[in-house]
Amino acid sequence: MLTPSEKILQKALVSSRRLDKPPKDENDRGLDSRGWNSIQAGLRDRAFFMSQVTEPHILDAARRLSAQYADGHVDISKLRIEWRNYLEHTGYQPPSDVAGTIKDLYTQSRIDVVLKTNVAQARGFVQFAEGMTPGAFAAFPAQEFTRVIYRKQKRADWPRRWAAAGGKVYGGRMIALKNDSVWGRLGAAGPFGNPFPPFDWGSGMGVVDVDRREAIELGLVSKEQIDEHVEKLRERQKDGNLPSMNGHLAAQIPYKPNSTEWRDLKGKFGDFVKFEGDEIVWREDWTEDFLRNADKKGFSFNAGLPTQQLLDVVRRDCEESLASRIKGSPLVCNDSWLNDEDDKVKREPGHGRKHFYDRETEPGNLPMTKSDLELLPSLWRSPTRADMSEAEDTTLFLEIDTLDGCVIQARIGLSHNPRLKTIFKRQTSEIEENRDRRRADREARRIKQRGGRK
Amino acid sequence: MHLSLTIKDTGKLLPPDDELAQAAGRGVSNLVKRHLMQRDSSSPPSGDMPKTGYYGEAASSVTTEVNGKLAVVSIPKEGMALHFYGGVIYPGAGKKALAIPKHPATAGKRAEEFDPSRTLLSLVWPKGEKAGTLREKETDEVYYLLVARANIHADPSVLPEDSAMLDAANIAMEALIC
Repeated sequence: MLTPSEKILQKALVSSRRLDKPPKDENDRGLDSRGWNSIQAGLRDRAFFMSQVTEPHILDAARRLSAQYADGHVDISKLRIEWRNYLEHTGYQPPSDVAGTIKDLYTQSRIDVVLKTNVAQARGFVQFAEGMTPGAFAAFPAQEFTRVIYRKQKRADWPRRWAAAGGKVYGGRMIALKNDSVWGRLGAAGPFGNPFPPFDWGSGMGVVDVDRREAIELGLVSKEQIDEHVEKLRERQKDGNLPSMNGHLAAQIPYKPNSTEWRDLKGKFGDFVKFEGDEIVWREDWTEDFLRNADKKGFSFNAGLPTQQLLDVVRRDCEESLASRIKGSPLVCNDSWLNDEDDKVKREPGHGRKHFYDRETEPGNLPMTKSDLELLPSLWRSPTRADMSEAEDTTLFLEIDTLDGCVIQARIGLSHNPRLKTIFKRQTSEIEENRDRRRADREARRIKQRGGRK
Repeated sequence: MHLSLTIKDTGKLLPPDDELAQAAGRGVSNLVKRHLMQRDSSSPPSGDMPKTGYYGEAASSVTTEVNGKLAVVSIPKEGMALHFYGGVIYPGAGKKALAIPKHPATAGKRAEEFDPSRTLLSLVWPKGEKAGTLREKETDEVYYLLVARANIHADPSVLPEDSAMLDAANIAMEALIC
């Protein structure tokens, strides 16, 4: 069974705006929470989204802090301090028209909503799943909708909402079987769409179990009906219920070879998407595949075409010609990935994988984890910064800031088509030092080429 | 805390071990959750400080992990273990004192968060005194109490009694075989 923090970390980072198209204008910050709530609940539940936040590194930081909060090791004040320090470190400035409002990421109300809502949803999901195991359901087949957390200002309309969802009241208590559709309808009427709490923003209402004896006495269910449902739950458990969150993420478009939609998705996301039967699905196992098979002969992975956002960052930080060069060319990771062939010192194949876990040996690097590698799609699609090699534009450096004050850098070879050469994690100061040195060398080379003229 | 149950074979066909553990774990989890909810609704605010819903948050955090015959009930809420077992809190590395919020405006906020630029509060720590204060500069109101350490007394009543948890586990398992 998942823990709430694992559930949060499994959520895919979803930008509030499409990254393959430029913003309509400088005020275009994409979907707000109202727009987001119009998207299918099943998809929302699998995504980590923040209203009008496009930057994956900010989403990633919020996701990690939410997971820490769910673990219960740190108080929310400390997390807010970390959050603000991170925003300052990345140079985030709220647009002048929203500074000090809930749209300003520095405000307490904003970060509290992000942390508390994500943690409450993850806990709601996990407790719901735990309650639907055969043993727990057999002993506690029903639940009561009631106040769990004190709130100074309480919503008064819960009984009305309960009745509107088709819920019945027993002696003044709002009770239903755990598998009753009332929970789905109660969720669907609120902003989150889940059949488990929270059912509204900042709500202190939750559920507590009602035991088998009481559920039978209230006439909610018979012993035979419980046994029948327990049998179904056993079957589901055999099938390995509750897989990883995005394990079954599939597009609504059915797979048809050579269809425009499939070609479009494949072009944008490369091998991150695949087809299974007649469905297009997100490849959940790509990180494991990378770590296990990337140095095996014949390994090849297409990470998709560069996005508009990537091209804009390359134009901003490097040169227009470099952006033109990579435009329309997908990033490929083959069996030489992490095996820096261009290094003057030839190393054994797959040496780069030493950047992971406890195998990191470079003194300046920090050991990467699987969750760091999961930022690869974000690095390629929406990096924080870009840079290029000092001598000639044969290597593109893409960087993304992480919450723990570090930078993950991917090196993309450009000798032919874009090819992932390596990916590693370093302290920000080390990366900045190297970047400054590269820029100084590049400038010196230019001056030399111009015969000493600046 | 570790509770151990021995199941005697009464001659009836018992459900699988993992289902018994799921029921027992959920039974204990429900009891703990209700206990914390009760504490949340009945505990009065502390002095002038607003009520935070701390125990309600703790109640909503209760989870049960079942692995074979073993069920582990957790309350992943910061400070719960400290309340239960008690202990001494010292300032973190590089800090000289603990800052305990004493004004409604500072509830749930570390001093570092409330006044990051250190411009709103002034430090008052008379020589030889065991405790100091951080005061609002204009009104001189005490916002934080500063102490070198804080002793937290163990309070086993934050959890139900062991016997009640054993009963809850037993009753939940009995429901499966009745």
